Amino acid sequence: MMLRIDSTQPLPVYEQIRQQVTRMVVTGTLPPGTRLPTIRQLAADLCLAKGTVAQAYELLEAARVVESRGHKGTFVLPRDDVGDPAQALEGLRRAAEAYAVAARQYGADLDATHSALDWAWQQL
Amino acid sequence: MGAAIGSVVAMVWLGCVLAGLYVTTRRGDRRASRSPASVRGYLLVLPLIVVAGVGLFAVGPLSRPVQVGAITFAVAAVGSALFALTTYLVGYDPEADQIAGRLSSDPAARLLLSRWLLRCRWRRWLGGMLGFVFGVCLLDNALHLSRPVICGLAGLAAGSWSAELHHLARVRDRLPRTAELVPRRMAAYTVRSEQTAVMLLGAAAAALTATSAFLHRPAGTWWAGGALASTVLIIAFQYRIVSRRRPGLPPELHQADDLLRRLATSRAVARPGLALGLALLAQAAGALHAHPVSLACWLAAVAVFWHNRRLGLGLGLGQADNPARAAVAS
Repeated sequence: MMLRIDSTQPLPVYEQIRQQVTRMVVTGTLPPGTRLPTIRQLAADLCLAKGTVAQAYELLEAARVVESRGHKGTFVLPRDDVGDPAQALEGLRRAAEAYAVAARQYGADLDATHSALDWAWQQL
Repeated sequence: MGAAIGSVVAMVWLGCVLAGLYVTTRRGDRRASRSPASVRGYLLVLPLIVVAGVGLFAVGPLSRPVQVGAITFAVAAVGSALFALTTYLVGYDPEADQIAGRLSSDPAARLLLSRWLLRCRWRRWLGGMLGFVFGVCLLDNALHLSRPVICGLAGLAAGSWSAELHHLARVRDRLPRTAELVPRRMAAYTVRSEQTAVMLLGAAAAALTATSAFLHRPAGTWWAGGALASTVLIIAFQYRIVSRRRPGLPPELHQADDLLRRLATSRAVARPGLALGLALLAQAAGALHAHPVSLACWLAAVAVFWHNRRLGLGLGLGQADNPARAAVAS
């Protein structure tokens, strides 16, 4: 359960945190009910401003990946609570659209795009 | 008279310091590397006896106590700082390596523990030494022996706590930063019995502060307030140690860092603070003429100090079993 923040990447730091935590939750590395470190601790460990980590936590909370329970801390939500099916389908379509655009930019055909998606799925 | 005694003390002390420096800098010599431990003991005891004698003699009618006290303290302080700084710069502490070797088998973890022990033990020694000498110089009556003891305990606690003010420097290069997604909680790094004792000390100090203020006993109020401040400082430093920055580490270093934090919260923060707080509480109880309570607090303070001498880790180093690891496990 290690977070890696690479400041040389073009992706904003809070987005890197959000993506990695989401990935850990989706793959089961962070099971439901797991308590996440406090914003202060994570910001200190990663040498970041507290606002950056807070922003990542807010995005995760908005996506129903985690839930803040006041002074008790931030906890991973069960997968059932991730959202309603219609919203999930909408989000999936938006992500697929972005992926399709990227595949076209690389000049990949539909088979290559499918196999790349299969590979990414297996990696989870 | 006072100036003459001060000069003698200065010469004796500087002689001891120079001898200590000579032996300490010959670290590579195996025979010499064993001797500084005993030399340091002599260096600690001898000037303290001399200073205590001067401090007691200074109350006589033929001397000028303030000048003698000032000269003695200045010479002792400079000498202590010089000697301690040299031993620190040389990196000499034979017991630190031995204790670290007993606590962990991984070389990197041993280095981490050894560096912490070196820093913590050096500052404890320097703080305790300076505090005690300062307390001796404050002596105006041979019966007021509590002052050097309290100053010594305060110096020791201040030295221990100051050793925990460090933190890892921020990575300046462009390497990826790492962190574990595991929360660190106070309960995981503190000993429950010690935390209970700290809470009891705080409650007793608060009660005595209120009682002394109600009875218009300013001395009692100050002493009890000091005990209360000691409690607050213990908790604040423990929180700082637990929340101290930690990047992602390999498993061996992770375990060593956990062990180091547990040792620091307990032996470097809670126990010296408890000893100091109990001594201050004893003074406060004495100011309220609660002499049995005062005696009990003094005995408890001495017991805590004695139990935590050399951080409670250097005992039985020559034995075949592993008392240091057992002590940590407990």
